[in-house]
Amino acid sequence: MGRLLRRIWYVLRARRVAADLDEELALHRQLLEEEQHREGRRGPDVDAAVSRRLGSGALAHDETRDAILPVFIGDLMQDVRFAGRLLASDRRFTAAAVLALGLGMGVTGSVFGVINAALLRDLPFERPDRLIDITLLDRNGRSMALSPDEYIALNRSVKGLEGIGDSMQGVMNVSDEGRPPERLRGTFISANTLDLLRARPLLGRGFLAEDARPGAPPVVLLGHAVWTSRYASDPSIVGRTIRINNIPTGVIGVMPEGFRFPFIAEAWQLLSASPEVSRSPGTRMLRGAFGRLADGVDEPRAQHEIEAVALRLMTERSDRPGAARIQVTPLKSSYAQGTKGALLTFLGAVAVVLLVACANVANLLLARSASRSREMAVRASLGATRWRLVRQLLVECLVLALLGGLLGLVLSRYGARAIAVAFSPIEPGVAVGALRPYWLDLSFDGTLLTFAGVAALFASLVFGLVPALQVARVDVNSVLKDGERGASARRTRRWTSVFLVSEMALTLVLLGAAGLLWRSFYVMYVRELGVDASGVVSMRLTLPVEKYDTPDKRRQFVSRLEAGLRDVSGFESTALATTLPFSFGAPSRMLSLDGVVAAPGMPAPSVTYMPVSDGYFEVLRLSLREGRAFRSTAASGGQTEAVVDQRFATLYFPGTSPVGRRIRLERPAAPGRASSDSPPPAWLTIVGVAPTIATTRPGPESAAVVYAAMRDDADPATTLSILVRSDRGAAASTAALRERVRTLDADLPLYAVETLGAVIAQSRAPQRLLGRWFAIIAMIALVLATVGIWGVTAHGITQRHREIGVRIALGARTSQIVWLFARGTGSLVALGLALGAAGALMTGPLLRSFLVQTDARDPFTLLTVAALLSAVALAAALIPARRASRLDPVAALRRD
Amino acid sequence: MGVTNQAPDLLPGTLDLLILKTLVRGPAHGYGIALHLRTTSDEVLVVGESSLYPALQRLLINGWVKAEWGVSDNNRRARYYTITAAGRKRLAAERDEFDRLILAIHKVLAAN
Repeated sequence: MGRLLRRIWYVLRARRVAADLDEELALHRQLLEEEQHREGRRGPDVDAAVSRRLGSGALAHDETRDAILPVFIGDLMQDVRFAGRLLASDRRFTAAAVLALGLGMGVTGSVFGVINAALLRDLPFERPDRLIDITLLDRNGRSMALSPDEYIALNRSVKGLEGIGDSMQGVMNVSDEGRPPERLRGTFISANTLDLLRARPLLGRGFLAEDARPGAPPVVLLGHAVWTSRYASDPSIVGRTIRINNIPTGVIGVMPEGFRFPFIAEAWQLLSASPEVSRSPGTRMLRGAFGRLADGVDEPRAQHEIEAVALRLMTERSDRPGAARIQVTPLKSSYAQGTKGALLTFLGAVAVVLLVACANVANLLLARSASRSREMAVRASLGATRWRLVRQLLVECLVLALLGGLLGLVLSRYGARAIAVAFSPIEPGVAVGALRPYWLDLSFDGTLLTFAGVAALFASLVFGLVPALQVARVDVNSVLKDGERGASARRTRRWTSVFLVSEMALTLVLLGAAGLLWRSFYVMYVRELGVDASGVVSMRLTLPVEKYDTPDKRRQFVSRLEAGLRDVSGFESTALATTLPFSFGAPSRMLSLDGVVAAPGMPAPSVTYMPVSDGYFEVLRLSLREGRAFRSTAASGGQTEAVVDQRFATLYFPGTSPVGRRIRLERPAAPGRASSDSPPPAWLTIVGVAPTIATTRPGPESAAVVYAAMRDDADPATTLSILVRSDRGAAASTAALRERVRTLDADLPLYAVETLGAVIAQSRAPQRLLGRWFAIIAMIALVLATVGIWGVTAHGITQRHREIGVRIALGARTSQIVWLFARGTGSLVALGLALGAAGALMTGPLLRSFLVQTDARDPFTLLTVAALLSAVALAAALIPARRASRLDPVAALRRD
Repeated sequence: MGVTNQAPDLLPGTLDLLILKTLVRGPAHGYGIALHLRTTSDEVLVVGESSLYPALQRLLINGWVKAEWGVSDNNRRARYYTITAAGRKRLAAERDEFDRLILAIHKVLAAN
C-alpha cells in the first residue's frame, strides 16, 4: 500500500521529480567533466568521453517516468480515455445516466450542505469552538431565567471563563427628524458581549463598561443594514443622537455587514437600556447566556466549575428550589436546536432518492451490457483478463458518477439555499425566508466536496458493480456464436428485475412519507382552519412601557382604540387581539373549574388565553356553535364572561354544555414567586362556545382556548394586533388605520402589516416546507422509477423483436402481445409495491414528530400513493408494450 | 537498457542489487554510486545515467532507499541516497537469489 501511495505522490509531484532529476544529471555531468580534467583530457575529448559515459539524458527522463508510472497506471489512463470516448459516443445513454445521478446527488448534496452548515460548520466568530452556551435548567429540563445578580455572581466566581455575556431580544422603535418612525429588531446585550465574540464595529466604538453605569447616557450600535438603508451609509451618523423608544440615544458605532448576533438583530443596546430591565432591574428574565472559555480551559472543566459555582449560588438563595443544574453546551448547538432530527430524517429520504437513481442507472447499464457482450467477448478472446474487463467497466461507471456528482454539486447550490429557508426566523410581516440566517454558511468547503466525492464513489459501486460483473462473465464461445441470447441474458434479466423491484419499493416508501406529511398539512391548513381569512388584514402596535406603565393606562388605550376603530368608515368589521390566530406566543393560564376540586399533586390544566375585543368573532367569521359572545363590563372593571372553544368544551365538559359554568384562569406561578401574593382572579361565566381554531404552534396537541374581553383584562399586554375586514386592500386600510392611531398617540408605529392569509401560511411554514421537500423528492423518485420501468420494458421488447414478429405472424392479437409484456412488468411492480408498503409501515413512525393528527401508518394515505405509483408504473409499461403490438412482423423478422 | 549504456548488459535486477549494496557503505549521490561501481569493478561496470537514475527512482518508489538533498564534499548541492531497513531486507533477499542464479548458470556452464 505504501508503494501505491508513494507512486501517487510521485505522479502528483511529476514536475518536481523532473526538476530534481535535471539537477542530478547536471551535477553528474559536471563531476564527470572534472574527473576528465583531472586525468588531463581537454577540449572535445572531454565531451566525447562524458557523453559515452553518460548515455542520453532524455532517455533517463523517459525511463524515470516509466519507473514512476508503471503499466498499471498507464492502463488506467487508457481506461479513462476509452470510457470518455465511449460515453461521448453514446450520448443519450450518458445524458440519461448523468441526469439521473445528478438529481440523486443534487438532492443528497443539498441536504448535506445544510447539515454541514447547520451542524458541522463553525459559527462566523473568532475561535467559535471556545464559545459556550449556558442554560439554567429546572427539574423538568426546561430552561429557567437568571436574575442580573446571578449573572454578576456567576461572572465573578467562574474562573475558567473569560466572561459570561447575555442578550435579550427586544423592540427598538427608532424615530428622528425627517424620517418616518421605524421598528427595529433590537437586541439588548451585556457590555462584554462584543469583546467575547471578538466582534468590532465597522465605525465608531463598541460598548464600554462606563456605558452600563447607572446614569450614563444611553447609547446604541446600529447594524449595517439600518445604516445603509435608513441613514444612506452616512458615516457622520456616529456621534449623532436619535430617539429609540422615545429616549434620546447616542449612536456610538455601526457594526460590519453580516453581524446580526444573536440571530437577526438590527441594532444593539446595553441591557440596562432595555425598558423591561430598567423598569424592574432585579427581575429574572430569560436571556441567552454565553461565555468564552479562557485559554487552556477545556469544556468539561468549565462545565464542572460553572456547575459547582451555580450550585453554591442556588443553595445560598432559598428562593431557587426548582433549579436542577446548569447546562453548558457549545454555542453552536443552541443555533441548530430542534433541526437535527428533521435534517437527518430528510438526509435519509434523499439518500433513498440517490439509491433509486443508482438502480435506474444500473438497469441502463445492464440493458447496454447485452449489446456490449460481443465487444467484451472479443476483448476476452484477444487476451484481456476478466479483472481488466471489470476494471474497464468500473472506470466507466466512475466517470459517469463523477459527471453526475458534478451536476449534483451545481444543483445542490440551489437546493441547499431552498432548504435553508426553513431556518430563517419566522416573523410577522416578513416573508418566509427573507431573514436569511446569517450563521448558515452554505458555500462549498472541503467537507462538502469530500462528501460529494464519497457519494459518487459509493454510487458508482452501487450501480456499477453488478453490471460490470455481469458483462465480464461473458462466455466467449456462446456470445460469439449466437449473439446475446442464452444463459447470460437470463442472468442479466434477473438482476434487472431486482433493481426494478427495489426502485419501486424505495419510491413507494418516499411517496408514503410525502403523503403522510401532506395529509398532516391538509389537516392543519384546510380542514382545521375554521376561519374565513380572505379580506382580513392584520397589523401590530406596541405600547412603550415608559408611557403606558400601568394596566389602567393600557386598558384606557385599548378602550379608546376599540372606539376609534369603530369610527373609521369603510371597514366591514374590526377587532383587537393580543395574538393573532395561528401565530405563536399566546399566553397560557392555569384553569380551575367551579365545583371541581383538582386532585392533589396534579398540575392544573393549562389553557390558551386569548384577550380579544368584541368584534373578534365577527372579523374572522367564526359563528359561535352555542351561546353568545361576551359582553364587556368596561366600567365595573375585570372580566366576568368568557367564550371557550369547542376543544375546551369536549375536554372539560364532555357530553354537556359548558354554557353557564364558571371557570377561573390564573397566571402560572413565576419561578420563585409565591402564587399566593395576589388575590385569586374572579370567576368567569362561560357564555358561548366558538369553533376550534389552532392558536398555538401546530403540533400533536393544541391547548383549549378561552376568549375574554381585552378591555377588561387585569393586565393588558403591551403588544396588540389589529384585525380589519374590508374590501379596500391592505394599503388603503393601513393608511386609514395609521391616521386613526395617530390621533390617539402620535409616536406609535403600526408594523407587521399583512393579510391574515399570510399569517396562516407562515404559521404552517415548517410543515409546508417539509411536506413540499418530501413531495419534490418523492416526485423525483417517481419520475426516475417511471423512466426506469419504461426503459426496462422497452429494452425487453427490442430484445424480443424477432419473437414478437413470429407471434404476430402466427396471429397473436394486440392484447396478447401487450399482456405478454405487461404481465412481466406488472408482477415486478406488484412485488415492489408489497415490499415498499412494508417499508413504508416501518419508516412511517420515524416521521411521527412531524405529523399533526395523522397516524404514522395511515392506511388511506398509503393506499392512495400505492395506487398512484401502480397507475404510473403500469402506464410506463403499457405504452412501449402497445407499441410492440403494432410491430410490422415482416420488418421484425428481417432484422439481424 | 539503452544502446548508449556502455556497461555489459546486466542480468535483470542486478543493477538494483549493486546500488543497494553500494549504499550499505553509507549515503551517496548518483555520481558517487556510479564511481564506486566503476572503480570497484575495475572499470567493467560503467553505468550510464539513463539506467542509473531510473533504477534509483524504482528503488525510491519501492521504499528501499530514501533521497535527501544535501551538500557534497566540495560544497555542491547533491541528492544523497540512503538505504532503508526495507532496502537492507531486499538486498539480502536479492543477494540470495543472485547467488542461486549464478550457481545455476555456473552449473550449466560446467556441465558437459
